[in-house]
Amino acid sequence: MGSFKYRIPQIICSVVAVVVVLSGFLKVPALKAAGTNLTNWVTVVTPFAMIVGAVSVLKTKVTSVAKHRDREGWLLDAWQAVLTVGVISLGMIGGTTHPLYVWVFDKIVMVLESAVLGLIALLLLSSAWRVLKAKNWESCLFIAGLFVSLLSQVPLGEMVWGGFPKISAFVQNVVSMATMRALGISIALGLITTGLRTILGHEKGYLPQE
Amino acid sequence: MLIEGTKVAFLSLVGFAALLVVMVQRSRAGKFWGIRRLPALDALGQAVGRAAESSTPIVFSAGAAKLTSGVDAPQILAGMAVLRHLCRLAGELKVKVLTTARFAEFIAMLEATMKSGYLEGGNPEVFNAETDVSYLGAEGVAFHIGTMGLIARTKPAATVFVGAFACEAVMLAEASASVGALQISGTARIVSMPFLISTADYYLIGEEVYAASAYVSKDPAQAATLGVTDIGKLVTVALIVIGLIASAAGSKALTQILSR
Repeated sequence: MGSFKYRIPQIICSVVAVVVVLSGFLKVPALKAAGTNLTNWVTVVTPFAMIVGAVSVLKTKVTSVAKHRDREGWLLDAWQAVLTVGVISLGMIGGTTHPLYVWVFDKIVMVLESAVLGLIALLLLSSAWRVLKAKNWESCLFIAGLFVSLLSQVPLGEMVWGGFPKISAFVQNVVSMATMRALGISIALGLITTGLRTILGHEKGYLPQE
Repeated sequence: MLIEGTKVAFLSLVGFAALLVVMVQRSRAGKFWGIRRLPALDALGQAVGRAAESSTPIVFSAGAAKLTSGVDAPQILAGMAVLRHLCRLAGELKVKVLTTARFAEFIAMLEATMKSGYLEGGNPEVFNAETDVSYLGAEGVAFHIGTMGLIARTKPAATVFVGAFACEAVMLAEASASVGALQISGTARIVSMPFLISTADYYLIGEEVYAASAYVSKDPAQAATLGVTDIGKLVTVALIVIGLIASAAGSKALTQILSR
């Protein structure tokens, strides 16, 4: 039974992967239809998985409020539980075009999203502050390249010296492009091998213990 | 029989599959394919030791990508292999590993992987599915901020980010650096690599992520499959050289053959 529990997910994974891969190569209508159906089933499974997720969140938060009120932050857990139930109920009863539902999305969700994504610019600055330290010759070269690239982006750079945009273009189009393509080739080969390993059953990291 | 323009791709895929089977058979006959050392994966033990000494958890994340994405799924699976190995090591020293999920379908996979890892480590009671795996909602930003908040609140001794990362690479890397955690990162997404590498103490670059599963399992058959990647690289370099010579000579034969 233990071995069965281990083998079934592996067999399902292999069969589905072979059908979907072959449907991209062979001119067999039945295979194409099977591949399309299997891909569409993922879309069907996803909403049910979201229900599981919502129930899991509610269960965790309600347990936290009921049993762990001595812990810091239990009020936030309660607030999250109220919001989860509230917004889901609003969407199900009033529909996604209900004015209050649309207001929650437009005035709260979208605004918070924009604020968080704006945070990325500040985090990039923080990361650059930490990284740009001339500790050895490689980091000096890195800083020099960065300096040239930045100068080539602004009119001031070309005014100082006309060679900055040319050097920057060379670094981006030749050096950087070559590195990215080399990485891309090795990544693509690794991707193919991992896929084949999973199909043939040699990839075991995601399976339960045998 | 084959769709136009896919002949060479199909034959290449079949060739890779056959080569993989041959390499695995050779490993079973005792002819092992070596893997060079990957300091990032060796450092997992150091991360667990650090967490045990300071009585703080380790935070793991496989990124915010979907498992259904063709390009990201292998990276997420590689992350799961690393997570299982991390939980095995953590189980031996009774260290907590906390992780977050963006998509609900990840919850079951994360719980099963962590449970298996702790079981192999000999202390399954350390793992608590309700508190150790947090579902933060399908909204990307909620996941990013939620994981940053988890790192800020728990102040982990180490953070392990192995998987497919996009903009969250910067956010999680900075959150980890701000609490002084030992950071082990790895992704095969080229655009995210610089952000993770700039703050990580140890990192896996590109195909090293795909080798993670074979490396941590120490299974000769899995290691043998990496030989397929190495042979594929040799073939690619040979094709590039032939293509350069053919192109310089004014011939388009290679391009025409490869586009069949």
